Amino acid sequence: MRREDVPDGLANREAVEFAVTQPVAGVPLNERRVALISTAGLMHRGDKPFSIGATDYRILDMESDEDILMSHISTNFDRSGFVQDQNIAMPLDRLTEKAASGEIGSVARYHYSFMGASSPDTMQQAAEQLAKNLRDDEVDGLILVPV
Amino acid sequence: MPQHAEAIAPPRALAVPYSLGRPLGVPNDPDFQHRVLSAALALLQEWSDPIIVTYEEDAPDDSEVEETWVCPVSFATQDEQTSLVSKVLNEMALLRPWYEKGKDSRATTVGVSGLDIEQAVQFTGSFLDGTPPEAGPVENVRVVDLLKYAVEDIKAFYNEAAASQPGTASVQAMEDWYWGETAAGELIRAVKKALAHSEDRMIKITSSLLLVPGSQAFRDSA
Repeated sequence: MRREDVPDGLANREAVEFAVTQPVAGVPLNERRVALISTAGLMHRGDKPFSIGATDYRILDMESDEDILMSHISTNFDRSGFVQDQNIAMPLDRLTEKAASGEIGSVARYHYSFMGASSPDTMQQAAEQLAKNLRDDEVDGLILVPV
Repeated sequence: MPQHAEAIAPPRALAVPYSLGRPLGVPNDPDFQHRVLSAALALLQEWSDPIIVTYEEDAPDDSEVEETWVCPVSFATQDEQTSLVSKVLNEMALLRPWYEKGKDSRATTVGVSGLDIEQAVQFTGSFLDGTPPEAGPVENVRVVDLLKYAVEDIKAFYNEAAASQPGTASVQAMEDWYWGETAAGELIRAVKKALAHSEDRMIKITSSLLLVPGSQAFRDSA
């Protein structure tokens, strides 16, 4: 959303302060294993949907045949794009194509979704667990895709 | 949102100019999406200071898509005596072929509630008298949560059916059609109104904030 289009109530919302994290050098992009983390409340069909106050995450497995559904509690963002094409919020097909073309090294097996509606500091424990999952999956490139 | 990125200061951020809910910009446009994703991935090669880059490529604006999209399915005026729930079910019967057509070409996003779609309508309608049912039809799911899931399943059904029809609607046109012209939008707005004075705190929060977008609240303002 453009800076000038963000409603004042959102633009001025108090943000959790974090220490500045200096970017670190890594291997070239075409050698990286990339994962995505969404805040859209995504889940595989059959998973437990998100509910008010949720601070946990769902795992999106590239090897699963189950559909990806959206169970975010908010009604104040567009979903009509997502029902047409899930890549608009979770671009797994695009990422797979980038691996095939050699732009990135590979696609992680597991991707993740939180429901971006709770205070970030309440999600720290889940985030630390998720970071371990990423290491186990040898991920060294990560894109957070908020909605 | 650029303001939030500046406040949180992640190592790298790409600020995109698209509607909330559409971080990759445009549905069903792989080339467009690839450009956005490449711009984000390219930041992984930056490691000097925390960096926020503004991505400039606009999504097609509303002059290129239909600002006042008209659903090709004509919902015949329904008898005043017909219940709101029946009106929604009648609309769904008309939309069903378009919904099924969409399912042939892409995954459906309907089903979070675990109810079949007609059951989701009936369950939502059961709140119209202002008294939430004591138990819902899905085990281990709170009634208040199931209401939210059912409402979103109904909306997803309509959105998927509409997306299978000719023409490309703007985000605003789709919202206006659903909330202003369909019985489903009317049903959910009526449920919100019916629950406005509920004594159950979670029901009250859900009905007041999580059923109808704030941008559509004007339809029921006094």
